[in-house]
Amino acid sequence: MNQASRNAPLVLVIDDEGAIQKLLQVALGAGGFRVVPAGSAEEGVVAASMHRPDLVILDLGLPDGDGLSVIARLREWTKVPVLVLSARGREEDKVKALDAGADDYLVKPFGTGELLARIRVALRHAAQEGPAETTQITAGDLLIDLEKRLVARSGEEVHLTPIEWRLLSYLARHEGRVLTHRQILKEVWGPNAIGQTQYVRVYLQNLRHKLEVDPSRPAHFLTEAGVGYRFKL
Amino acid sequence: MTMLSTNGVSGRPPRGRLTIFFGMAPGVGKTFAMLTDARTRLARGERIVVGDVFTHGRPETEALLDGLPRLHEGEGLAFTHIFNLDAAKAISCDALLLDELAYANPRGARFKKRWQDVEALLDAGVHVHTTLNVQHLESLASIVEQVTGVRVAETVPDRLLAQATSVTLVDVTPDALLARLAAGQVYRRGRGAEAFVENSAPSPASRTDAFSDPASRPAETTASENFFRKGNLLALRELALRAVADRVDADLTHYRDLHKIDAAWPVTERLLVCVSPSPHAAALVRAGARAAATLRAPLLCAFVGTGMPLQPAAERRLATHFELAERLGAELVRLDGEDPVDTLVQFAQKRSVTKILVGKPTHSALRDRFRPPFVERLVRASGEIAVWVLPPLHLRSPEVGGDFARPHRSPGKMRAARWGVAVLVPTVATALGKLVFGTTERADVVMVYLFGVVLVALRFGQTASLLAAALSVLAYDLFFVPPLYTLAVADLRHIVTFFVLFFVASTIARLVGRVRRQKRAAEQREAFTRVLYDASRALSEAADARAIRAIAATLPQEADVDAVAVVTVEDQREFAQNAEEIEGDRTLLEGLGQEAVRLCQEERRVVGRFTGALEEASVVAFPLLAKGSVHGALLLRPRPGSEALRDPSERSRIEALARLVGDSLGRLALRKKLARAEVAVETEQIKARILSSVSHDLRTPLAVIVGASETLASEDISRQEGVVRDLARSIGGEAERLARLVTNLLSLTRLESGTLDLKHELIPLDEILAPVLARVEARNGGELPFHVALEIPIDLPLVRGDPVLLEQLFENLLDNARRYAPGEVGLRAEELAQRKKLHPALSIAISDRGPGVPAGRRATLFEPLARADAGNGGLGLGLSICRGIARAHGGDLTWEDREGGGTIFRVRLPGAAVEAYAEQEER
Repeated sequence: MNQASRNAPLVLVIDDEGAIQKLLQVALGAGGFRVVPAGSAEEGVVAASMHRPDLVILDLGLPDGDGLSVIARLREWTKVPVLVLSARGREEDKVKALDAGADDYLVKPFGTGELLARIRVALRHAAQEGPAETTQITAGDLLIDLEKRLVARSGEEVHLTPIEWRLLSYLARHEGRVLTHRQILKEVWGPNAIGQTQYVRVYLQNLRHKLEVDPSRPAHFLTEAGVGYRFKL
Repeated sequence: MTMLSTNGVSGRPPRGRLTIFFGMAPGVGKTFAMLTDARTRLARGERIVVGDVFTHGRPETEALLDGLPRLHEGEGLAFTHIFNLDAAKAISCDALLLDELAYANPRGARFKKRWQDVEALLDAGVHVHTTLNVQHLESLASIVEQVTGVRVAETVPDRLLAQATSVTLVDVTPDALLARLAAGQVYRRGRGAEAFVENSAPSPASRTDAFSDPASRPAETTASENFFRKGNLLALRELALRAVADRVDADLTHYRDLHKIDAAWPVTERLLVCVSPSPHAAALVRAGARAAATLRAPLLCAFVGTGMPLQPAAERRLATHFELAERLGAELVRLDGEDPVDTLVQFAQKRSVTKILVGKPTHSALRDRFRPPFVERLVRASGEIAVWVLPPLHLRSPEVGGDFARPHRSPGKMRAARWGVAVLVPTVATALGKLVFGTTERADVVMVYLFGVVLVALRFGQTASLLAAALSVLAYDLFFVPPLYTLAVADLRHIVTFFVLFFVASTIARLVGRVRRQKRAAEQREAFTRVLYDASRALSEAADARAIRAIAATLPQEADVDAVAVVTVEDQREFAQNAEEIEGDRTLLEGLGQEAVRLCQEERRVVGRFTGALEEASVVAFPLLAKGSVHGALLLRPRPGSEALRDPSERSRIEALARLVGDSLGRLALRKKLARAEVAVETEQIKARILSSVSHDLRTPLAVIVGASETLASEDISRQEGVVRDLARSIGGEAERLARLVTNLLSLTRLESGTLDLKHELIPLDEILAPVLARVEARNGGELPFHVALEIPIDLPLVRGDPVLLEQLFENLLDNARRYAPGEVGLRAEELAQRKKLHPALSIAISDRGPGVPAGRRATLFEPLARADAGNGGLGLGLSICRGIARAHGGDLTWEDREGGGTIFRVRLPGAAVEAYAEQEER
């Protein structure tokens, strides 16, 4: 039913709304993916084990249980990237889903361009999972050398404090993916700092001032309101 | 409360019916009658449940019990006499049998007395059948003691007899009862002597429990042989018959009232019992209550003080008298006045009292020589009012509760100092007089002595100053009156001087003493008034229940307690152990604490330790009352060994504070209710306005989407590349507009309904603005020049608020500027100068060079659905939501005209200093 070839990546779409299913079928097909639909949480979990998809798109508001339980059940046995769809204004749900192991989220209504970009980022990270990690990241005029612990803007080295460096390297290593405040705090400050969201905010602000051309219109350190941050190349 | 429960406003069940099987003495067959009646009812198909019955080992009684359903199944014939009050409350039956209304519950029960259980059961709507002997009636206790010589330990308030729906007199002649007793039918042989007070259950263990006052037990045992004398039984029988007859009269009156028959006995009489702290006053109160009942007159009970505080022991005795009077249905009055007779008579006249009851004086006639006797003056001053003077009843044991009999002792040190000074001052005065005036200027010497006595009176009280006065007279005689150094007096005129000196000195001593005590009392009152005033001021400033609880927890500092907890209950719900609703020491709720709160809420009075209800608890719980509803409880745990809260006057102080707290909680609840009602009305109005606008504002973009997509689907156009892209773009644009509209509508609903739960996070303003700028500038699509010039100082405080809502606030404002005032828009943020530097605030000004706010919209710009230009899309909800969000954060949104054309929108938001976080950071 779609033009994608047999070895094109397989996407499992768990959503009970026919209209969204249909849109995603068309859009993903045009983007070169194969699609398996599932209309409920139960069906989705079964389909995931049967088809072993390369990526799962999951609607959080399912008729037979919440999407969080689906994430939990998937994470029991697979690291397949999960992309969550949710309505605006339910930031808590998104954060919970991300903390539960989802890889990214999209707010309804979303553009198909954005959707495909997110899918590609997720698939890239899934493929990278392993030792072969790039040590050098280039983002616009920024050059980040993870091994030498150096960052340069337009060829000039920028001095960072240890915490700023840890924050930058964590974001850069997960480039393109949203990271929740909780995940960042745990990674950079340690588990005792969880809840101190303002640490992240203040330090991110510092990074923007040091590394962005226009800190008020950041090109790399993007805010996901109420959820966390995303580093964009 | 009764009214409420009968008309069902409070949601309580209708009050249960009380049936009393009433008798003159143990052995007349009350329990037997009750059980026989129960069996008859059972046979009639009524549901009967036996709660507790004392069989006293009588086989015929035990036979009657056989086959009756029990409250506690599995219990043999031997009842434990502890029954589960909550289980009893929950049962549904036509009659719950609870023998012996006057029974004192064993330790560990919720209430001290069974009659308290019964009242609680009646309140819960349970119908109760019980038994009662006449000697246990509160108002008759003194008489019974007088007649039989037996002191009755357990009494039941008369109101229970009055409240009973039906009273069945179980009567036998004294001869028949004596014959039964002799035949061993009442008690098994060898037992009669000790079990004469039937409410002491026959099993030795519970019998000990029944007498809460151990002091009275020996008296009963020795007196028991006398109890069943024929004379006593005759008297008791008369009392019982009279009590029932009075009740029949009361029923008749009630019947007349009910059927609007003119009252045969209008309330013409009004009785006033004047009590003193004397132990005999209790009998006076009872006599007054009986007289009032017979005359069907309202009863007042007054104590007249002189404004001076009583000794603590006297205060406690007075409190017990007052408690008794209250139980007997009297109105309590405490009067203060310089002259007790005038004060009493004035009060009596004001309240149209017809009879005053006073006790005969018990002091010797000698005292009356110096002071006009109270009773005599009262008789003279009372005019129209009759004065009944009752003899002090010669009771074997004065009615001083064991609890209150502790003698008041002032510290020994203080006493020694007092006597020392009383001796020292006349000595010094003598020396001074000798040195300065010699023996000739005797008049001046007298003045020196008087001065000394005044000094002693001022500092050390009346007794010491009287001693000083006496010593002064003695010293004056010895050292100044010839012949010197003897007690002999040469000139008889000096005797007059002695007398005058002593009289003046003692009068001064008394007056100064009184002033001093009045001053101290006034100071104490003033101090307490100040506490109340401070508390009410602090409470009036408290904005929520949490703040009120915090204040309440600090209030009882003065009391002798080691821990305080405040529990509030919202909307009169059952108290749940909700962490949000407790302030102070949570351990107070452990053990019986939680039960105390529940009971306090149910009974609406002070419960817990020292109070007679839930005595075993380690805490005392004061209800937080406001206009008949309970808003929680104040829990105090007395210091180990402290008895301060046993004192009713101390408790009433705490109660006053608790009422204050209850009042403010009540006000708060009322405010909340009003606010909810207002929100409901406003929400309705907004809904109506939204519905009326929906047709236009939602249909426009829908029309574009429907039209464009149909065109796309049509055959002939689908090949034209450029047209397809244009149509797809307009579908996308309109759909996005719809999405924003829906978001705004949702936010508006949440804001207006008050269901918005705001997050309070600390966010740099840049971070809020960055995604907003990206979206708004992208949306402009380059048709018109639009640029936001930012001016944000680097040391700007963080914004305190909800990131998602704040993004929406700025997105609406900037989008507004984009649509109505394209071009360069300035966004300038600054820290507001605050008087208190504790919480910084931010001001963000968004200024445009647009056409300004049109004249027609200037007053209603922030009203939902008021829009500057109807043709430009959007429901016009934006600005109203912006203001709603700002205000929900404790900030505001205002606008003003910009000099040189255009508009400035100013957002004020709460902030938090950046430095504080940088510091924490370095850890």
